[in-house]
Parts: sequence; C-alpha cells; structure tokens
Amino acid sequence: MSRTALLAATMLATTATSLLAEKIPAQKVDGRIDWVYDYQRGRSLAKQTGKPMFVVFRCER
Amino acid sequence: MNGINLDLFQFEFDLTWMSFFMDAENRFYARYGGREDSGPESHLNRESLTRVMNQVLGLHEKHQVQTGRHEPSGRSRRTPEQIPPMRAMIAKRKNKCIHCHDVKVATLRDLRRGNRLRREMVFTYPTPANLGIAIDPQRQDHVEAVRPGTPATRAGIRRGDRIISADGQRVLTLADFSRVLERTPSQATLPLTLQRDGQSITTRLRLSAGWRRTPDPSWRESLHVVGPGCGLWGRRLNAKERRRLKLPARKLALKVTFIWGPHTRRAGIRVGDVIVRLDNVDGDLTIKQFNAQPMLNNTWGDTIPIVLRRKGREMTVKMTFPRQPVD
Repeated sequence: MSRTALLAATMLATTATSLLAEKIPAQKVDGRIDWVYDYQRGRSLAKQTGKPMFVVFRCER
Repeated sequence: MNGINLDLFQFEFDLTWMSFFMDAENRFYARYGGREDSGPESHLNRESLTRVMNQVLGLHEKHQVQTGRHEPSGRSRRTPEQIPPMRAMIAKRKNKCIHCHDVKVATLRDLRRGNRLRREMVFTYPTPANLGIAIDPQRQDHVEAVRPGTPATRAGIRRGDRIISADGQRVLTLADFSRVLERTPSQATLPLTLQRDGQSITTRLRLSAGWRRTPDPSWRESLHVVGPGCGLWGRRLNAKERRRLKLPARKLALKVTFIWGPHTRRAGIRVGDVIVRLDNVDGDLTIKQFNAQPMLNNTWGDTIPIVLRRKGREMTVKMTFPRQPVD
C-alpha cells in the first residue's frame, strides 16, 4: 500500500455526500482506499474510532 | 453537493477537487486543495498531501484544531437547494446532481437578480500568488519565491521563509492560506507570522483595492455569470495551419468549431471562420481565455468588432451581446 493510502486509511476517508445520497447514488472510486460515501456515517465512525477525517469533494464536469 | 451544509463546507466552488481534515466535532485541522490560474493541479501532488496528512495526525493527537474567526461554526445549516436560482437550474436536468460550480453559479445569479453582483465577486479564494508569494507545491507552508514589487516584497518576505500563520490562523497548505485570504477585505493589513533561520518573525502585508483579481480566471466555470460571452467554441490553429494562413505565432488565431449564441449568428460568424481579433485584443489566446475576455471587460448590450478570416479574405463583423443575461 502506498504511503499516502496508508495515511488516508489511518484517517477515515470520506466523501461528503449527504442524506440525499440515497436518491443520487455515490460515484464510487476504484483503488486501495476504503472510502465512506456518507459524511454523517463518516463522522459517526470518527467518533467511535477516535480517528480524524479526510473529507474529499470531487466534481466531475 | 446535494444537501451539503454550505455553512460548514466553504471552499472555492469553481474547483474540481477539494479536501478537508477534520475531527468528529465538525472542526478543521487543515484544508488541502485549491489552484493557481496556471493549472488545476498546480498544488496537488503526493508529496504535499502525504506531508499534510502526517502533520494532521500530529495535531489530532494534541486536539489542536483550527480556531479563530476564519473558522466556520457549522452551527447553522444552509444547503445548495436553498439558493433561490438552484431549483430552476437542476429542474432542467435528468440527473439532479448539484455540482460544486453550481453552488457558485447559483449564488452569483442570485446576487445579479438582486442587483448586488459586482464582477470582482467571481475572484473568490485568492491564493498567496496574488500577494507576490509563490508557495512551494511540495511543502505548502514554505515560500518558494517572492515576486518583486508586490505586497510580499514590501513586507520583507523572503524565499525559504516558513509561514506559520496568517491573521492568526495556522497555515499548513495553500488552501489554508487561501481560506484566510477569502475572508480578507479588499483593503486590509494582513499580519503574517513566519519562521526564518529558527527565528519567529511577524510582518504585515498591506493590501489595496484590486489585489484579489488574477490575470487569467478563464478556468472559472462561474465566469459566465458576470459578463456576456461570445456564444461560440473553437480551437487554436496549430503551427502548420498558421503558416498556411500566414498568421504569426503569437497572435490570435482561433478556428470556430461550434456556435450556440443567436447573437453570434446575427454577427455573421460561421463555423470554420478563423478569428484574429476580438475588439482590441489580437494576442494569442486559448478558447477559454477568448471567451473570458468579454465576460471580464464588456457588459450586456455592448457591441464589439471581431476580425476574422474566411476563405482567404479578412473581414470585420460586429457582435452585439444580448441586452440581458440568458440563464
């Protein structure tokens, strides 16, 4: 696993989709990082695990 | 961006990628992302991302979140759907996705409707380059270069300085600095704390009107809201095509490939025309820079001359922009 991926896994890697993600499916990302595709879920996991979050916004044009 | 809390997640919405390091209480350690005019990945690279990740892990151990007046509280909640023009914007789409740039476009349109829009409002999230500071892309809290004759020179900032804070806000990245600059008025004195040769130095950047503007905002998706466009798309001629048409290398030479503007057709412009002058501009431009020209410099209802080449002849046409924006 690359160093960056390892560091991202040490944090919770989350994309900031909302509760409306149920209606608009998240566009999943391939690769070695285990992304959480819902911000509130990511926040809950951060509370449970004590990890910081790495929150990413990406926009396809 | 559907349903995202904009009072918490504030960033340059013209970007295609942005990130935040946070704790579980909606507080921020650092921001990573942002760009210069030069390119979308000007400051995105593995080395700097890895570096800030390591820094954040250290801050997290000590619970050292960002504090201060530049940090959003996130206590209030405001979503993109609540920006008045947004509903009409996404109603026309099959896929109801709200993109990052839609947030800024809707915000600017709302200001325009209320007659509160000023053109410089498109220049959000300025970077340290606006002040004369080139940030090291790999170590984004370090000064790589200082441009002469700028606020940075006058403040005595030097290559190699490490930026500790701007206006009391910790700076680890370009995006951290840009966050502070976004919230800095057009005329201001901005305190910076630096580290140089092991010593802490405090200085002040004196900013006067116009510092937020950058030379080439053509990458900004929201630019079309603040001024009229030419209603066409095209491509630069390559070297061989220029030679054939006897057009010099550093001069404007854009071949029209697509027209969507009724005003463009009324001007008599056709697909295949080569544009060599737009109003008083004849320097080489990309198509985005070309389209940005009237958005930055003209207003709706203006008439400008355009010189073009068609089948070996050079001719001048007049383009009159629509009298009001067409959303």
